[in-house]
Amino acid sequence: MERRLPVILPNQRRSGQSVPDVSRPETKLWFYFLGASFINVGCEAIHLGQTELMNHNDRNLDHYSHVLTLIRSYAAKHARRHMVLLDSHVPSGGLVYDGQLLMDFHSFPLRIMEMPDTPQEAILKVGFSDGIYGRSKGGTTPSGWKCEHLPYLVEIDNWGVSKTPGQAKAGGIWIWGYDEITWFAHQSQQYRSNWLRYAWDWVKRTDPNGFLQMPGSRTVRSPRDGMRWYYANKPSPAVPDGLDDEDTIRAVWAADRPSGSVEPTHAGGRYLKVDYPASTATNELQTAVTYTLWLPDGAPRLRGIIVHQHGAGTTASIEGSTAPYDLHWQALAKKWDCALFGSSYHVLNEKTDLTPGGSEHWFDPRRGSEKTFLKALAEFAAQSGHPELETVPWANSDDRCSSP
Amino acid sequence: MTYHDTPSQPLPEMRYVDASAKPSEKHAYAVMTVNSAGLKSEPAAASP
Repeated sequence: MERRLPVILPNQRRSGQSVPDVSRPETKLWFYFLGASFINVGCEAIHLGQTELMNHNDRNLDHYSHVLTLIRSYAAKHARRHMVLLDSHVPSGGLVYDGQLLMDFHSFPLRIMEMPDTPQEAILKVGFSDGIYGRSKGGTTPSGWKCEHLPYLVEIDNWGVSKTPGQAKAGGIWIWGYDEITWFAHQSQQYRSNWLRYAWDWVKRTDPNGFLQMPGSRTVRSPRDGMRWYYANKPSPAVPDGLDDEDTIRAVWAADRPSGSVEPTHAGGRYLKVDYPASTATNELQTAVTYTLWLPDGAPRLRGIIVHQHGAGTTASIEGSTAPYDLHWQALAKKWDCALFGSSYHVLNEKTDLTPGGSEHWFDPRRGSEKTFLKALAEFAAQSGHPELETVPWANSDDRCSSP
Repeated sequence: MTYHDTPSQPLPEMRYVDASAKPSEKHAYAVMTVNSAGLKSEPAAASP
């Protein structure tokens, strides 16, 4: 929404460029016109861009509050669900007007930090640059509920390329000389896959109000090889330049589902859970995994562990995540004073070989799953107060696979 | 319908709250199971 406006301000970030001035009536009319137009064609959420670049003459947010109220009023009458969700980039942590949050959710770049000593490597870190983690402002939302910190999306953002693409130490927020999406697009598929899982888990662990926005389609700037766009799609005649990240994105979302949906089930006993990210070391498990253990009530000393193992592929992996919640298996485990163990290896596809994301990475115990399984048992033993978990016998409940 | 021997998601909450219960009256409750094909079990013994 910030382009082609009649009344402008100098862009504080880029000399010679300009942005709209939201304090001007013409700008507000234009914003209102755009908002109403998007709503008319069926849009239910509108990203407002760099709102904090456009309010240098609106420090009290009177004008933003005015125009956003107008857009929401229009949505209340004309939108499909009589509302519209508005968000924007918020370097300050959020736009709050007299205790009222002006956005329905916040957005910000991930702020990826390069690791100059490890070629092309980059990580996420609290405190790096102006990352939003832990800083999203709270208040009363446009929908009427209150929060201390408004939920937010962090995206793999685009803004251009430095003068030294591909090289470290370009300064500022460049990652190996690129913006975030261009750096990401230049990594291998395996690296991108692992990194998306890493970023998803890191954001979730770091700030419960933060959520990784998966990349879908985004402009990139890469003068060295001419790449102009990142597509997550599988390559096809429609999207020949797709980088094939669809399966990873689907698997990340699917693997995340159980942790939210299984919590309400309480039929006795208690649950413990550990997550291990995929390792990049060749002698360690290269597949992320979630292990869940159910412990029956009233067993002072456990006699064994029923290990419920899933099969190969993504569907089996997802189904496996609920095994420890099965009441029949729990009844059997309780009868014999056993713990019930379930695994969910986060494979990326249906392949049963050693190609990236394939299941052989985990179902061959020599490739790291044995060590990870034993490590989990040690963690569960410590967490549960049942040290015998490290030494009691195992009963494998599924004969399709021989590994843990 | 699934061919896996694990519960489907979302998992049901193993709890029931009778919002219509009246403090001065006795109520009886029984558990019944329904499988994914729709077959229902006999109710378990009711408990007050």
